[in-house]
Amino acid sequence: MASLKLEHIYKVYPNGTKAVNDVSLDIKNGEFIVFVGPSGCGKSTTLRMIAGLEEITAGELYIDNQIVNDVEPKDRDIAMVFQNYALYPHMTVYENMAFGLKLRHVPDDVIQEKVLWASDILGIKEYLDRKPRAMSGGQRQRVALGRAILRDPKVMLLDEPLSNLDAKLRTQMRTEIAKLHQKLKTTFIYVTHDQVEAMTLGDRVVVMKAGRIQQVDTPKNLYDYPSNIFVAGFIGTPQMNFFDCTLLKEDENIIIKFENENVRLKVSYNQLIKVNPDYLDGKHPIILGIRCEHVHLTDKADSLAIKVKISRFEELGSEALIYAKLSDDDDSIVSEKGQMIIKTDRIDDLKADDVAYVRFDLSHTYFFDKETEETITPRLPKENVFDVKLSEKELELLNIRLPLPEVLQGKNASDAKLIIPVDAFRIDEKGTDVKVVDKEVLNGIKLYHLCLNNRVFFAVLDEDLEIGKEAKLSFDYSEITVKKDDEVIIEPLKEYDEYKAAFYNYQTVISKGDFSEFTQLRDDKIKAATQYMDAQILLENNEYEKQRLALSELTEEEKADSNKQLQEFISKNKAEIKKIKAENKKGAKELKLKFNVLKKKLKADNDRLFDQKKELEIKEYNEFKQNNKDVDALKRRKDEYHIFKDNLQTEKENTLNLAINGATMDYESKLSSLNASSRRKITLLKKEITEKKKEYARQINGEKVLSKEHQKRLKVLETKRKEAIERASLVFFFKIENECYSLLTDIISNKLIQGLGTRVFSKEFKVEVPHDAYKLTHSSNSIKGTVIDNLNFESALFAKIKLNSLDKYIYMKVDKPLEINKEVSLEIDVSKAMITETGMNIRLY
Amino acid sequence: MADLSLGKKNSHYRSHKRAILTRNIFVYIFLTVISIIWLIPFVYLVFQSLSSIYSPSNFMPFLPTEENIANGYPVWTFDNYINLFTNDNYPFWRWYLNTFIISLVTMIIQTILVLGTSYALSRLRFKGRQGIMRLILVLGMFPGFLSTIIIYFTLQLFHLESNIFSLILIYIASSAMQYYIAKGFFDTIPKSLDEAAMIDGANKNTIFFKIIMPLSKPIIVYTLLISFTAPWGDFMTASYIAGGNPSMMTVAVGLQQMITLTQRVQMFPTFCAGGVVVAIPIMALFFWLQKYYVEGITGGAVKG
Repeated sequence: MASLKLEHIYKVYPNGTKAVNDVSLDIKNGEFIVFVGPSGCGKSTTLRMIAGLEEITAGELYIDNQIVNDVEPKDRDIAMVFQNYALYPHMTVYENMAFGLKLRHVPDDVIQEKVLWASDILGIKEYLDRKPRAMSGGQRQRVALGRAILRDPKVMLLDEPLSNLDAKLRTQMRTEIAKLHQKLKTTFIYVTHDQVEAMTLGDRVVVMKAGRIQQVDTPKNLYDYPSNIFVAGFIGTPQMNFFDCTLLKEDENIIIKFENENVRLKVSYNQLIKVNPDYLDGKHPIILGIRCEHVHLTDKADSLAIKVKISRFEELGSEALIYAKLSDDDDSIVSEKGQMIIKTDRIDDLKADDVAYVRFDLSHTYFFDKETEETITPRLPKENVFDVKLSEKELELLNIRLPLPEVLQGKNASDAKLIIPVDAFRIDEKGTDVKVVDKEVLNGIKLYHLCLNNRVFFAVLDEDLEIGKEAKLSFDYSEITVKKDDEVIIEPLKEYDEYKAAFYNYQTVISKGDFSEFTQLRDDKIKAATQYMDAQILLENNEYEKQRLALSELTEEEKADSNKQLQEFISKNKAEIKKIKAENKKGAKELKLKFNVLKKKLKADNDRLFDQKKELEIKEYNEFKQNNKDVDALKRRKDEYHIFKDNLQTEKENTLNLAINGATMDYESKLSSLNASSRRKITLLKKEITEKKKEYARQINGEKVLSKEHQKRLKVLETKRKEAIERASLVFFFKIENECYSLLTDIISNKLIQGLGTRVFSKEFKVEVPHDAYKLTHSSNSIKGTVIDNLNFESALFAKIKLNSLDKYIYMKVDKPLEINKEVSLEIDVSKAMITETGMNIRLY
Repeated sequence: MADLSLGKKNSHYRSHKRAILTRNIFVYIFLTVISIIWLIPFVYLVFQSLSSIYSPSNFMPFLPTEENIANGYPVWTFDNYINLFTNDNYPFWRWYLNTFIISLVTMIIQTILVLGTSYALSRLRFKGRQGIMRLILVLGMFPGFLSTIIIYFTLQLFHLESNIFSLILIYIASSAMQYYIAKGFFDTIPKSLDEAAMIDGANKNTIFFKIIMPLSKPIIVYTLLISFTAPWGDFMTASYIAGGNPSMMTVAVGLQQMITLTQRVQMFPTFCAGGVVVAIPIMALFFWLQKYYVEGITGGAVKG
């Protein structure tokens, strides 16, 4: 059991194709995650990267908070089930399942116990001594599952495990896999292209397309809140109905105008409150999506009903699907345009080509941007748009006047639009009174529907507010945007300042100048590592001394006694082995004898059968010849007779071969079962002997054995110590804009090296530094600039600084205003920044 | 063809069968003639090895009647075989042993090298893999004797030119170049088996020996056979390594020595006996392992 974390994982093939593109995902302990998507979407590649069968180009993979990018598949403690089962054809089912444990030197009796446990769960106990080729697809898949669960892995990976099975078996195995997950409570990662499997099995489903994650959510949320057209169309059968349309806000109503079809719907704005306000201008092309079960037939032809022309039906028994078209002038069969599917439980007396009226359930209608294909009705809206009037020192919105902070004053505009991000709101005693209308909790984020002067808007707040109560609210002026038409009047500060950087190692940096503080840092690091490892070694020495003192000497007599016991044990076991071998030989001989007898019998039976057949045919033919005078009929019968005669021999052989093959299969499986069971017993006995010998050696030569083990452990520790020191001595730097060096923490440098290998030195990086990552310093190793201005947003204070070497302004978050026109030296805390490799555009930190 | 004629003549089953039969007769006659042509040299060799005197124009020795013996006709005899193993001038035993040891050692080492190379080229993805494969393909297009002289000089540098075991060196040096068939065979074994084993905790060695090898019996046998027969019948390299020293000859070189012009008359039947004896191990091997051999070639040829 384990949690998994994928951080900005990329898979780029040498020819440049990005099979997996910036995949980030958190998988909780014991979760059943399903990756679903069309073929070639990168889902299998992602799984194979988790398994370690495919190298990760960039990004980190954590299993249980341990980075495992460079860990061998066998050491990741995972198990995998393959699409084609990948059972070893030359091994029996038992050996197949035991193979992994055997390689890990698990004692044989434990293996046996585990195999029996797993085969019991999966119902393949009777087949343990069969070879895979003598089993059906379903049984093989069970063996593959058994092999995987046997090791009790942290993570189970299943790569389209059911796609080679037929439909019925697939449903059955699906249930079994679900049960297995409940029983084992291990983390399961399951890849499939079948959305039904995904929806029924997954705790959460990851929908992928073209190497990118489209949406990660529970099956229900995927169905109810698809985040883009792809997910909406991929999840659910029959497919969602899509229509091109535009939305236009007219006062408190919205008009939905269907493109190309002369159809309009007029609905109240409150029903579509979450639609991104940018799209309500009647110009943006939008795609409306609605599932067939949310389209209802209606009798009334009112303003909310749409006229459709029915083209055909599909009766499914309990319900029916009606295929209809929006426009009645387009009779082409192939045209998908304006076509919709309606699910209903009654067809009544409707016929093809009839005209009917339907009504859309607007609470289950989805809107998507036609170009980006993203939803414009997100569950978590990003921003609110208000009509606003700007005057000298004030801002008027929803009939409320708010004073502007000093920085933003001095601009005039009316009929402008004010954009406030949902997370820019704060509970503030000096703020405006608003009413809480509704509250939604999405992944731990609290989204409030608030109302001010009959206008609903959204805010994300940390505080708990009660629905129906009033709250005092204000917003952060540094995050707002004011636009008039396309002209931006006020724009928020960018979240980050951008720098170019290159990667350097310690020696290079030290050779470039006097960086005594870096040398000191590195020396301290090495010292700490050395001290830690020395302490470990001391601990081991003490432990050994303790164990040595606790040893007691055996007398000669006791030694002789225990030797005698050992010899007795060995001879007993050897006799046992001999007996088993003899029994096996006897059994095999008997089996062979029986088999030969059976073969003879089969042959005799077959001969008799075909002799009878031949006689019968000859008799019939002769009779026919005597009784029939028609020449043509006679000719035909003669042909029949000859065909029979010619084919008799082959048929005879085939029948015999079939019978013998069956018998051989049976004989072979019995024989292999016999051999395998005695082999198993023998290895167990042999193992006992070696263990006894070891125990004896420990009794006689206790000190020697102990010291040997101690030396072994000591050697390991020594290597570890060396490694630790080596690791501590590795220090890396960023050279930022050719101006200053910034020491990288181990975490960052590990990530960069992990992601890029030695190429890290030749690449260029983009560092995005947030405003609070600056610090004033006196060191010469810093970025220098001149303070231009202090920006007071009331909620926060920023200093606008012009960099000396670059023609660029940056903003630094400060507590108190800096002196204007003063030269400052800045230090950058890279651990707060985002780092991107510019060549391949790979986000690394 | 057959179906067409059936329809045209409005004929029935038996005439259709007759057509097939006629075609088969022709095919079998053709095959028989070819196999006779193939077999004639070998039959001739066997008969000559049983002949009592030098009579290359007599295809078949006569029965050993008194009359035949008196007239000086060649008759059946096993003397040639006895002579072959007892002749003091020509240490046939020695040659046989030499060849056998060389072939055996070559067979073992070459098989290991070929299988290892093929597996690596089939499963591992490393830089220059395609390049190596292409290079080997091109190198294989040059006949082997082009390198004879340079090989001889190289051996001389190491003072190995008059050592019979340097033959082994020469044979195995280029063995990895014969990876095609085995690689083709390995390509047919699903890669997911390797991956499953990798996850089960196997390293590359374990995968190769415990998973791939047990599944590759046909290709192992095929490689063993091929790498045994090649040195067994090689003449050219063996002859210049031997350099005329009878104790260092292989059977091929030795037998050739037997029928140099001066001695041809008296040694020809013995030479033929030698030929038969040399063919025996190879024949035995092929009969025994025929099944695997065919599987190996066809299995390797699927994707190779």
